[in-house]
Amino acid sequence: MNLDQFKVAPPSVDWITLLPVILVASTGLVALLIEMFRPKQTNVAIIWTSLIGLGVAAGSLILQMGQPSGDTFAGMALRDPASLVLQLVLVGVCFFTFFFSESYLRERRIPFGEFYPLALWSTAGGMIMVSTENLLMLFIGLEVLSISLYVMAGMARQESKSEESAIKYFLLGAFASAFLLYGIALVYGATGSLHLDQIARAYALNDGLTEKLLIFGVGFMLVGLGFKAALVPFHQWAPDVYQGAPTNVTGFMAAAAKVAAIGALYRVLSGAVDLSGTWMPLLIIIAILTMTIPNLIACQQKNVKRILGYSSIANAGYILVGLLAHLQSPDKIGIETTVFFLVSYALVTIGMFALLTLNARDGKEGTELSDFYGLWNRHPLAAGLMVLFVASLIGIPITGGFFAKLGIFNDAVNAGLTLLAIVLAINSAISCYYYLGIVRAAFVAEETRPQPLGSTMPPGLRFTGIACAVGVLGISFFLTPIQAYLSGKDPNAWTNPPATASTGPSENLSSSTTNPSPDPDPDQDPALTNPGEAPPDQPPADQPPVAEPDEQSPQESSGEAAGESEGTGPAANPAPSR
Amino acid sequence: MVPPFFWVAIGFLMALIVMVTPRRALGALSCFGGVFLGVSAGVLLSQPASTWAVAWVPALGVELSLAVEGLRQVFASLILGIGGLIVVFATGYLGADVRCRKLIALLLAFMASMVGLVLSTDPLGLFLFWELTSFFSYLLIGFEDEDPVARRAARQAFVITGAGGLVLLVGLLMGGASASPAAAICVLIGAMTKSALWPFHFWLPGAMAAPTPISAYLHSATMVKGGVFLLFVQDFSKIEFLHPYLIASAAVTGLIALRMSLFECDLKKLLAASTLGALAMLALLATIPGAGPLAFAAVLVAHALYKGALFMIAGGIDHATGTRNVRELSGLRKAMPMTATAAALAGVAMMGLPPTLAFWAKETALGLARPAIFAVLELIAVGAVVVAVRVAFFPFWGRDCVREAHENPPTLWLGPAVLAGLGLLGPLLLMGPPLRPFLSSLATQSSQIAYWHGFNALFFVSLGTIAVGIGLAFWAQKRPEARAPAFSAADWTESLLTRIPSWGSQLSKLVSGGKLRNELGLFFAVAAGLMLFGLISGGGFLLGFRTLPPTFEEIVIVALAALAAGVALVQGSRIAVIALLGISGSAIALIYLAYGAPDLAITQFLIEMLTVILFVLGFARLPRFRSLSGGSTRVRDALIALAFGGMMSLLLLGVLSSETSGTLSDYFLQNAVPEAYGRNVVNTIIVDFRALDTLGEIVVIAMAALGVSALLLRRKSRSTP
Repeated sequence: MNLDQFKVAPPSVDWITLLPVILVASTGLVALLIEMFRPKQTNVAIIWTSLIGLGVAAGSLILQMGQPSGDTFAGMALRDPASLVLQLVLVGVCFFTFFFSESYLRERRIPFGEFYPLALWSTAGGMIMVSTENLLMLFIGLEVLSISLYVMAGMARQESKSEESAIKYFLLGAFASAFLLYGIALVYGATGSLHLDQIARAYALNDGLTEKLLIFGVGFMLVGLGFKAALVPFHQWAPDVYQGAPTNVTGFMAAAAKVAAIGALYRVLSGAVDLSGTWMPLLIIIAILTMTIPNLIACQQKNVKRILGYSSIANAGYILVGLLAHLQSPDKIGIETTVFFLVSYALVTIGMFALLTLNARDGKEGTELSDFYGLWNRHPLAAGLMVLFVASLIGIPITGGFFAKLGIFNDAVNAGLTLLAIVLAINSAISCYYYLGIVRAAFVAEETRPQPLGSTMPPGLRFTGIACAVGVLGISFFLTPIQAYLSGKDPNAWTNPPATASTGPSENLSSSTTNPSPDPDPDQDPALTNPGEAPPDQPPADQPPVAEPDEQSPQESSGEAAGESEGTGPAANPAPSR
Repeated sequence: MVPPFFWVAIGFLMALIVMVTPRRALGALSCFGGVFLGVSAGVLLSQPASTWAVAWVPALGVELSLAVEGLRQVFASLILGIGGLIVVFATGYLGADVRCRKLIALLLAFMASMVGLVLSTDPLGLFLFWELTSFFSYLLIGFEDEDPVARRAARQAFVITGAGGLVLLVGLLMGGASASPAAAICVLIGAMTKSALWPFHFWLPGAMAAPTPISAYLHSATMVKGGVFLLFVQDFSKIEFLHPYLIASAAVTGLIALRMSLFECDLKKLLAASTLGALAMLALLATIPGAGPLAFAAVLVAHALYKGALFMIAGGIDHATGTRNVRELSGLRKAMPMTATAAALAGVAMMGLPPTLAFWAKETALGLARPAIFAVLELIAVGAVVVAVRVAFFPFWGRDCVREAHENPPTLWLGPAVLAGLGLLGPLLLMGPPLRPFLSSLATQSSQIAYWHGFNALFFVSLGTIAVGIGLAFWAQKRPEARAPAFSAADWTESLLTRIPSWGSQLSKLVSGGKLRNELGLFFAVAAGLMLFGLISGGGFLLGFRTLPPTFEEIVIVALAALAAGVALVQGSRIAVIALLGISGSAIALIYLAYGAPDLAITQFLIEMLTVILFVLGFARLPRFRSLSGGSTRVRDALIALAFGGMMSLLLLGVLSSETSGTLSDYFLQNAVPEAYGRNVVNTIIVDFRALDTLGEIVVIAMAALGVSALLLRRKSRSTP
């Protein structure tokens, strides 16, 4: 055996790819330093520093969108459309969370400056998770994400519920991490590599024991990631933690941790797609359970945060359906709809939890259903926004939620997972019950408390709510560009209307994948055969950097992406709205 | 030519206008609106065929496309026309009620959605408008929102039709009814929920809790036809494998309708019964190959005309006398002559007597039918005659009414009169020049416009039907006591709906009681199950060992470890448990030592000691163990622990029996001296080959030490004062 293979040149580092994560993490460090030396115990300087840092990170992500895909740092960090969009979502989630956090934390009497750096590091961890195919990086990202979350969940120290949620989350999370690590170790044992694309190579050896190790390894990793994404039956921490943690943390957790975990799940399952015969039936069962059980339980809950906790579990189930549809036939069905669902879900989640902070007063959080009685009279704007977000959660047309669910439904049907599609539809119907209960509390029920809760809406909260609402309503217009970007096709293709009225959506989808692209087929072959250029599940139209006859294309895609960012909103211009 | 979206837009626009109109101007506005809609209906009918489409979300293939042609055109025109009359009627019916504006706005919005449903040619637009009609129907049935019965009925209707809509969406996305059997079944279920065909019929009688204008418009003339319309548009006559089910469903629906028409006494419930029958008839017509749009349109229009009229008449009677019980009403013709005339005209049409449009429509349908369908159609016709006699004639004839009655204002009788008149004059209009060419375009070979079929067998069968129906109607009216129909499907659904939340609570108790212990237990149980699945699914793996006999030291060490672990299980003191686990760990270190790995053994010893110290520090402040779990819980936990531990052991054994590649150690052994100038290979690895890793580890350990000391010092400073 040639031992020189272990002598490797120092890896070349493409700092641009790493820049967003570095920016976010170092902003956290700066913010912590400011916290130590802050004058007058105010968090304003921390918040503005963080927002600027996040804004710059978002900008660096958007500017990268025209760049070719590829990995760097010896395959540890990856840049592809999905990673850029998901990182942007994470940055956006953090950005909006900061906007409404300060007023809420002051009302809850827990205005700790440490919240901001912790959230920034958590975001950085999530960004690492979604932009790597290296298992060790994935684990590190997960831990950075999680440990910050454990601390943040227990931030309301005077409340036993918050403390309980933190310790519960920590203990269960520690076991989940252990499972994940064990799984990584087994995969490493089977493949001799920490890179996910080696799974396919090891599987091809067709060695019984290797396969077995891979199955166990991937299975353990699914347990760990399933815990983070709160899939049934690893979901049990979620309702308690969501209810116990401060509301802004819950919102951040529900959006960021889910996006990161699903992103990681996508990478792992794509890497292990050869083993899908083993995990696909299991994940189908898990998806059905994850959609159904929380929806049934949520129907009789009385606390809005808890209801939304169950709702977020159910949403993880919907996302899983999209993911499974993609993995069932990776060539035919892209990951775009799932990513779109995540974008839409993150927008609604942040908006909804932002509205829940409205009732916080004098250290109490006020998230029981009865606390929202008569909201329409107190805060017409908040009540209106709430209806909009609930509509999107249910999936009522013209909101982003409708198109997201429709896309996933479509994918499931096209992938032959009709059962999942039907369960999804039924669960959407069941979920109306508790979602509409929230609307009923806000609109129909009368105020019951003798002294009404206050009637001011902090400007940061107002901004967050309106921005998310604009995003939820406007996102359907960006669905096509997002899809075009994610599937690596010419973003201008969407301006051509679909052929005729009689063609079903499935035909439209397939026709758009076979659209004549500017590159003829021979150009696509090097992209497939080039190792490390694109994983095998990536759509073949992922264009290699060498053959780029159309100089227009990258610029336009970045332009589209910049337009899209107005919907997801990370920081193009925060100042005027404030 | 008017672009097709205009017909959808006017309803929504008018609804908006009504919303901002002052209440005083509402009466005049609605009269104007009614006339406008009537004219619109006429204009729509005279339009040439046209289509209109706009892309919405091209990536999902979502677009809106509308078409004005054939049956769609007739139906949409009917919706607009009757909509106009209903708006006028509703203004008179609710009159002074403050909610009148809301009702009319909702009606107009519903009308727009219904036109959209009828004109949509793309799946998504169809689904969107379909659910919109369900939604407005929900709001309109529950219009009396103080009334729990109305709320219940509204919820039930919404759940049934809304869920049906979702199933329909599945079918449409799978390519529509012609694409595959599964898709056809989905479309059929959607259509059956909307059109209240058995077994989804039960929401319709409940929907009669709505104010009468709504029942007249939504639940007889328009919305419920959406389902059968879909069956026709999706060409169910070609999907033959579903015909037996459809015919059976129609037959059962017809029987239920007949039973209701005999045993119900409420005017609106009676009309609802015959609506069920008419819907079953239309569903059957959709299965007849070659029936063509003309026959379908004729039945649809004829039914809408007389049924809309009769509903409004029932509303008028209710308005004038305060009751809808058909047994309490008689002799109203003197007090309400105009209403009585309209009722008589509509009643004649409903019985299917010449020269009405309904007669011709019914004869055409019967002429097309095969024997099985024919029998069902006759059954339905009998039910219709019973209802016609009981609703349109009994209240107005016979001895004088015991109740006070007065003629209604024109807004309340004009609508029914116009509809009934149209029903009567329909055949003349059909023959007339303006509509003739258009209708000819709808006709197929087998359903030509022939008004009179002669004195054939069909004619005498029809006469017999009518005679039987009249006889039954008299029997039903004279029957001594009305039995409450044992109508359980609605109650069953209701109890299902109310039970879902309680399932939720049971489920949440089952799945998690919020106790960390149970959650951890489930976590491990599932993980063990997954491992077992992984093991079984691949057929297990071979464990390969060297089979050397164990030495004495090995036996002693393993026994020590096992004994310590076993005793730890039954100990009551935390410190003792930690100490015992420490012994177990130290035994493992001894094994390392026995197999010649002193460095590993040292590490293991150090870690064991450190762990014990940390635990002791942490546990010193905790209370003693208490017995918090019962016997069965312990057994369960023990089983989970055994399963998980067993699976992990198996896995470890499997890993051990796999061959490891020795390449890395070879590399280090060969390169330790030339590259790192050191003979201790482990040392060169730690400080040279992987120096950066070591640096990182040292940093981590230092930080952990800082953290621990911070915690301990803080604890001390807090506890001392």
